[in-house]
Amino acid sequence: MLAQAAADTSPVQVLLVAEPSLASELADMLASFDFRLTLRHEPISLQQLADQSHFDLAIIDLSLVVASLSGPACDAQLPVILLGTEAEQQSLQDRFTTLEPVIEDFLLKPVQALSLRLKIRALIKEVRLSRQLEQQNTRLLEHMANTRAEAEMASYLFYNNLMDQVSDSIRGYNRFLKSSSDFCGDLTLARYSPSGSIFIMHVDATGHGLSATVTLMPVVDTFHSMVARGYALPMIVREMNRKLSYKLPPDRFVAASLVEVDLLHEQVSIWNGGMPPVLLLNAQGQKLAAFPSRHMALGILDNASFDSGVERIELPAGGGLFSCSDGFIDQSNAAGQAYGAERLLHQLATVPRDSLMSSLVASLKEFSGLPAFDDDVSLYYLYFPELRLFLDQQHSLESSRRLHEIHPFNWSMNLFGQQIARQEVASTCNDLLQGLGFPQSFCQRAFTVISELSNNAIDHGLLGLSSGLKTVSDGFAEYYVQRDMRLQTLAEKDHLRIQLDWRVRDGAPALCIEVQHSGEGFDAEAVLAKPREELSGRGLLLIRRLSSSLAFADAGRLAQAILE
Amino acid sequence: MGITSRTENQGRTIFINVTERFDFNQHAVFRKLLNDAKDGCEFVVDLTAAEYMDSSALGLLLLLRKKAGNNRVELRYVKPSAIEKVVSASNFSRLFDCKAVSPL
Repeated sequence: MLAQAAADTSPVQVLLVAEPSLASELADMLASFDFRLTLRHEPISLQQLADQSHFDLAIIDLSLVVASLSGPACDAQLPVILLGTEAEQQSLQDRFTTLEPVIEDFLLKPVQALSLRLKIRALIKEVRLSRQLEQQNTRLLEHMANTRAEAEMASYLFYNNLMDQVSDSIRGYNRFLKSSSDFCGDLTLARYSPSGSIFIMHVDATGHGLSATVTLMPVVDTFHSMVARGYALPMIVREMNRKLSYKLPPDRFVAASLVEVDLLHEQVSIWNGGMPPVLLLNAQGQKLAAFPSRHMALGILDNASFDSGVERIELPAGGGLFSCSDGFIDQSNAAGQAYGAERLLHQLATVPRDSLMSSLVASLKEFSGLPAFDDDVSLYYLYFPELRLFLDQQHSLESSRRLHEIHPFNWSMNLFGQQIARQEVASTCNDLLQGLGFPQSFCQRAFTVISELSNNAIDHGLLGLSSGLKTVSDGFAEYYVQRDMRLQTLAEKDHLRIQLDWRVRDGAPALCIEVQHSGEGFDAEAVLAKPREELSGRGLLLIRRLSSSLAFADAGRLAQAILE
Repeated sequence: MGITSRTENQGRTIFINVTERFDFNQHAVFRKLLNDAKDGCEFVVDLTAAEYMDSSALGLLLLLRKKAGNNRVELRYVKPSAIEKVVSASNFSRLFDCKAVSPL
């Protein structure tokens, strides 16, 4: 904390050097002034004068100055009014003396009261002003030191808390970030969810510098924790908006685009609020589609008016997604032209993919002709084939040998009433399996199967929601509204049981996942017999792909999937 | 230059005219204007003579919207223009009564 320096109100200190009679005569003349007068009747040397720096000014009878008037100049820091005779004044006038640098004025004896008072008044005013200036300078320096310390602190927070290293370990995701000052209002992060989906966040907070960086903290926290617990994109975006709208002052908001690449469902979801269009590029870097901002930035709308609806596309085989902040497109050159979207598209289709980030940044630097950019600049490229390859490699790397080393266990959980609404079953199971030593890829498969099965049990079995709702436009939003309403009606008679059983079956270790509920059943045989494309509604097709067997009992209320 | 304002309709409508750049440098003037404004006013923000607007300016418009409460806030700007691009990219047209005018 900066201590507010108190205004210096201490009295001005004046030294008066004169014979007693003259001194008391002068003191009378100056009686009306508010200063502290110190009298000295003994002669004073130049050296002694230089030591009187605690005085603000001195009035000295020249006859009491002990000095040869030639020699090194007096280096006293205080202004001096000399009193003397006409002859003495003449001798000072004729040649430079050691006293000259400190002489503020020369008054002839006998001293005229008025001219002394006017002179003293002017000097005191000057002393007060220069004191004030000095204090302000000190405070300014303190302020600057504080600001610098805070800047370093925020910079540290930014680089250590916000810029995680995990993002850089995700193969197929490349990013570039450059702030226009010590800290950045732009950020892009990538994370794997427990199901193996890749989530990308790209944000640009209002303004620049420290205050912009600070507004990113709640966004990043929400992103990390919700992705890690396997939430869907619309829920993550909604929570980010909710947090920001009550945590930020009304003139602050965060433009954001969020992307989920779900490799298992072969689906890409995009939500864009206030960022430049996210571009879908083909293998040659040419634009196939653009996903412009369809929403308001985060932190502006209240929860009821906020729209968390995402755009979905089928995951393309080649190419990828590109996104940049407006600092990139809006950067202007000396002629006042902006870099612009056209130039960006041309570059994307021209430069090699391996060095996309560095080539684009080099192109922007060359265009602007400046060493630093006007605004924070951030961009990323997400290359689909590499994401896929990495996922496959991960699967084959974790040999089945490791699974053989995990000893048998059995775990189950029974939830009743509102506990069903509160628990995150798939996420809990994921933590459990990881703790038991299952490899990442196995955990991802199990997470997806458990979350599909438990969602089916809750949504369709206990809540009686129809998945048909999701297929009509705007159905998703309606579906979640109804889901939230019905969840509140769950009572103690409603029951959900989940069991994980790991042991050797038919010579190989396997995980048997059972999910059972007390609600409405369904005709499992009829549904499973449907053509493949119609199964997707209940995620059954996906569960079948991930597990070695899927069976239903208890009139469809008990689902059993086996993972090897 | 910068921000000027006037009132009409017995002080119930406040016209704010922004020229050249609308960004953080207008923050202090704009906030003072809002603080001085009476409650229950409607606002017209004329950006037809503005050339540039950044996210700080959007933030100022959000403050203004809060001040206006349920009263009308109208934004006027030229279409097409840099201002119009920012307003449409941010989807602010959903929060404000937007009047796009043709260039002279």
